[in-house]
Amino acid sequence: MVNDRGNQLNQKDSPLVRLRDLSKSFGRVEAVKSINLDIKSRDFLAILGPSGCGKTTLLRLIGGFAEPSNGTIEIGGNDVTRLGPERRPTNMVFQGYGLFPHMTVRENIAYGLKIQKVSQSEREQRVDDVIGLVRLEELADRGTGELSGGQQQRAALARAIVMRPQVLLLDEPLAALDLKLRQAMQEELRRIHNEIGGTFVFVTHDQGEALALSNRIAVMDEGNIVQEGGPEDIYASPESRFVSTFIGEANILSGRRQNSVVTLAAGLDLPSSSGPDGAVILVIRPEAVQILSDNSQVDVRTEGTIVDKVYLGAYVRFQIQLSSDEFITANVPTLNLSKEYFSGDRIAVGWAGKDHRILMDS
Amino acid sequence: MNRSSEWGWWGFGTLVVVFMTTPLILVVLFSFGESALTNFPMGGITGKWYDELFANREFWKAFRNSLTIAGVVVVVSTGIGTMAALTLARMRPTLSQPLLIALCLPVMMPPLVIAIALLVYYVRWVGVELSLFTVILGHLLVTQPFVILIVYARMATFNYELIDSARDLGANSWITFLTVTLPIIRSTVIGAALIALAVSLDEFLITFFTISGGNTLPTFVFGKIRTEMDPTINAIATILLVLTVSSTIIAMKVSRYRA
Ligand SMILES: Nc1ncnc2c1ncn2[C@@H]1O[C@H](COP(=O)(O)OP(=O)(O)O)[C@@H](O)[C@H]1O
Ligand SMILES: [Mg+2]
Repeated sequence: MVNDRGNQLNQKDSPLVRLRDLSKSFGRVEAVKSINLDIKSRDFLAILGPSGCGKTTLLRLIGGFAEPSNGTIEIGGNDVTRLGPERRPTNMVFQGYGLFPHMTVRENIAYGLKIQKVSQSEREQRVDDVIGLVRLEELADRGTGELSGGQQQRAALARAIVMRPQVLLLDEPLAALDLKLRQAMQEELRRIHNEIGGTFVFVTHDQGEALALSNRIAVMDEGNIVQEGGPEDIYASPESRFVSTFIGEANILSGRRQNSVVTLAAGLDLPSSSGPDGAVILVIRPEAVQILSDNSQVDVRTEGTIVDKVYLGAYVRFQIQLSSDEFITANVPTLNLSKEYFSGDRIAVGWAGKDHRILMDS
Repeated sequence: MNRSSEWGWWGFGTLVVVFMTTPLILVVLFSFGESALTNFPMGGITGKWYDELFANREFWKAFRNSLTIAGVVVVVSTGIGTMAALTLARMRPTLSQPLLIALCLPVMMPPLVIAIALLVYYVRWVGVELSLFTVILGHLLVTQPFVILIVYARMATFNYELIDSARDLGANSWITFLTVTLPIIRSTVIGAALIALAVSLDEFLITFFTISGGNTLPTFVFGKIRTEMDPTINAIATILLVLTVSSTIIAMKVSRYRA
């Protein structure tokens, strides 16, 4: 995908896409608020956030379908802020696919190349190639109305990648598919990204999808990018309450920090915590919480009462009420359970100090 | 609904249909009848009224005028009306609704009022010679709203992602219109054009007031009624009927199937 225009990107590590102070308002609604974001060549970036947070608007700004209220967009070192979509090196797979109903699959895919006046022989070659890539050989000469959702999705994908865009934009590419198809298409997307080696930016509200597909995630909330990084970083080191609960599951315990000592409402002190004084939260993933036998040694330890227990095969899920009346969820691998526990049991719970994060409570 | 009231509705419906179609059937019937009195018994079947009509040079002039006017009106009102509808459909409703009402005002006004207003406007204010051109302008005034309303209604269910897709694939707005928007709404546009055709072909009042010399088919018929009420007017009416009904039927067929 980059081979055509790769020469524009000879400075190796400079980002392919650079968004600076990018914002977009619709009347009084600020859909995108002053976003700064770099996207590197060959990234598979997920823009992840709840519905209505401005993801589609951001993607449409990058694709040129909306004019920003403020800020600039650079792609491959060129300022494209004022260019329309037909003049940007991007292509988009729309949420509703946007396939032309009066054309066959093949005609849909060839449309952009025809407009670019690519010679017929090259056009046919490239169209055949992508049809093979997305495995639509059998359906290539059907009308788009005869395709299932997954097949339409692949046709739309083929129509975009045949243009060899520097950046491929995908708006909730899997949202309309049922679960099974969604998983199959996830694999398909990963395979295609590997095969053509392009730069993909996709929008999703599904954190599982973002973790499964991307090598970078930009988490959005109310028009802002609140955290950006690799999936492992974001999962292991969320920087806010929002990120910690939106990506994966998290227990949140409230407390205060004073002179580098955090005191939790649940009645324990955690020394040597650097940071400003004030209200804090402790974030701990359910899979990091252990149920302790009397002699076990952990960094953080407290007591609670089991209020609910669900057996889930590979692990057992406990709801535990702490002395602060806060609840904490523990997902304990079934194999690690030395004895049987019941609702109402008083137990000790704890975790390794490296597993929790302490954040200012905003 | 019970049996007897169902029969009642059927009966009522049949009566309405009979009442509305009888005059039409009679016109067609008498246009082929021997009797010169437009009366029963109509005698044998004959094509002589058509022969007589086709031998009349005034008829052919009127016919040509009607086709010229309708041709220009269809092309112009379809072109401009479609563009206007596409533009209106992309506007905010607070803007498009008042504009739509303003543009469609002419169909809500009595044709007589429009006819008089146009006549006064042409003669007193602009000072143009009355001609086929002034008739065409008058027809545009009443056909334009139909085209705008029909195409505008179609655009309510148009998938704008298709336009974005075309732009995304490199098409400018004109190519997008030609290769995506127009092919998709084609049947609606053809339907709107045929309705404009039907409206123009049998428009009488505005034509009558703004044509000065010459005739179109409707004013030709009117002239004939006043002088000699012979069955050739039945033949003209039948021709007009066939033209407008067939264009309306094609319009309905075409716009039903793809839209
Ligand atoms: N064309 C538009 N006109 C007015 N408001 C819009 C428009 N597009 C989006 N918005 C508003 O901007 C916000 C973000 O929308 P969107 O980018 O679609 O969110 P997401 O894709 O994350 O669900 C929403 O409040 C939405 O109502
Ligand atoms: Mg969206």
